[in-house]
Amino acid sequence: MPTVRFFAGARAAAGVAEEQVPPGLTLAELAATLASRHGERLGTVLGAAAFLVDGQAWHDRHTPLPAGATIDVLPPFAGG
Amino acid sequence: MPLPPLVQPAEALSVDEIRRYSRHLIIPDVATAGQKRLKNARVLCVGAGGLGSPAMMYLAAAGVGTLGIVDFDTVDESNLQRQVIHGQSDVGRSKAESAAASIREINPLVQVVIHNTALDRDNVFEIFRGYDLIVDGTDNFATRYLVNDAAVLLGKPYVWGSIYRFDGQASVFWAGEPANGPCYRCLYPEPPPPGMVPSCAEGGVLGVLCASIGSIQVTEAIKLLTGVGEPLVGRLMVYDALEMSYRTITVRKDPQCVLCGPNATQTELLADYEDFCGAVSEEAVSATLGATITATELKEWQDAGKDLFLVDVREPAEYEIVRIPNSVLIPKGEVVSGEALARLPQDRQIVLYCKSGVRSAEALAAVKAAGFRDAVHVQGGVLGWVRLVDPSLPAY
Ligand SMILES: [Zn+2]
Repeated sequence: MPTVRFFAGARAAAGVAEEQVPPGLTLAELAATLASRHGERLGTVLGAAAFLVDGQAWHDRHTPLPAGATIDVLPPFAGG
Repeated sequence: MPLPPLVQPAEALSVDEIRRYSRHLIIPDVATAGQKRLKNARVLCVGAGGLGSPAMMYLAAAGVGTLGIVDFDTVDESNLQRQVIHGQSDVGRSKAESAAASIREINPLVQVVIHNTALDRDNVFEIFRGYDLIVDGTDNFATRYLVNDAAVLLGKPYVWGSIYRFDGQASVFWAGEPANGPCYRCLYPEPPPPGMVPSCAEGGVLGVLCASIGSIQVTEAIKLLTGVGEPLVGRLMVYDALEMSYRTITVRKDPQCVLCGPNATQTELLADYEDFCGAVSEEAVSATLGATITATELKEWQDAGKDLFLVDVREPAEYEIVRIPNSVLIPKGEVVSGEALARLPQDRQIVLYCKSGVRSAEALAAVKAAGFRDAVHVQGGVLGWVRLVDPSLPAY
């Protein structure tokens, strides 16, 4: 099963650092699943976050994510 | 993957330099050769703010020969909670000048170059060309994409860092040879939608977080300049101060990256980075046309006894600091989500304000779309009110 790891604001909104998700989901389905599990605040964060699948940016919203992948969710922030 | 040093060693160290840098010289991995490389190094810090402060102070102390500073801003009292390169007596002074004075005090052997200007597409190449390495400590997406694009197009490495509240991130982006690593756009191809990600000015930042991330940036800078250790290329360091954890994430080069991928389509800088990052969304811009009042006009409306419903769309902590009298707090998120629309009266003049006028513009678009056609927002927000109407109130 794929593992999702949440960072920074995504971790705060999800309330957990990581969790497993059902295999075979697309990125769009994953985002919907996570938002329904953890609430709309996470949904909003996911709208701007980068998704790294085994370290590589994943842009395709409609191809199933690889089984066993680690998916890192990284919200952007620009403060300095 | 270890990388060769960025800088050739200087000819020699003086007696003064040997005394000053002795604790470096006795580390076998730095030693005289490494210190000579630092002496020859030219490092540019973009932004003399939260990250730039500790970064420049430690780079100066470490003996980096030439330190450039780009900043057009002046020191404000609200900077002093974290921008430790500036002091009380620097308030009102140019940040670049103030930082330069601190650097000279820390280490008079450093040659300081002041670029008292905003970095833009017309000057970025010329400025970057004079340096071996860039340290990015800017505070907005537009400048971050500009720094990234210019560095990639010049093939130069830069050390990136970013902070917000209790969270920090750092990495080395070096898409050119010999590193062939990812760039910022490999991670974030496009900026987030306007209004979606709060800045430190809106959301706050723990002051000492600047030191946590700035010191990682300096560590990476010294490693790159001297060629020691494993540089943070292709990895992102993620720091969580509340959890007190550092995690590293692998970030690979994105084969689809428009800037550094094999089929890159972007071969020059963008025409307008502010536009690319859309300080305010198009909906918000059109909502504010003919629906923007100044703080002075708001005061006149209040004094004339106009029946106003004045809404502060900031966050509760900001409302605690300073507010316009007779306002109610409804955070922007509740307005935009539609949750709070039922609290708005149909028969009164609705006036929205925030800190500086960006969030209230976003909220105004939602309020007008919900049918409150006469609603307006206050240009410049509560900061405008402090400046124009009641300077006795604190700005933040
Ligand atoms: Zn790239």
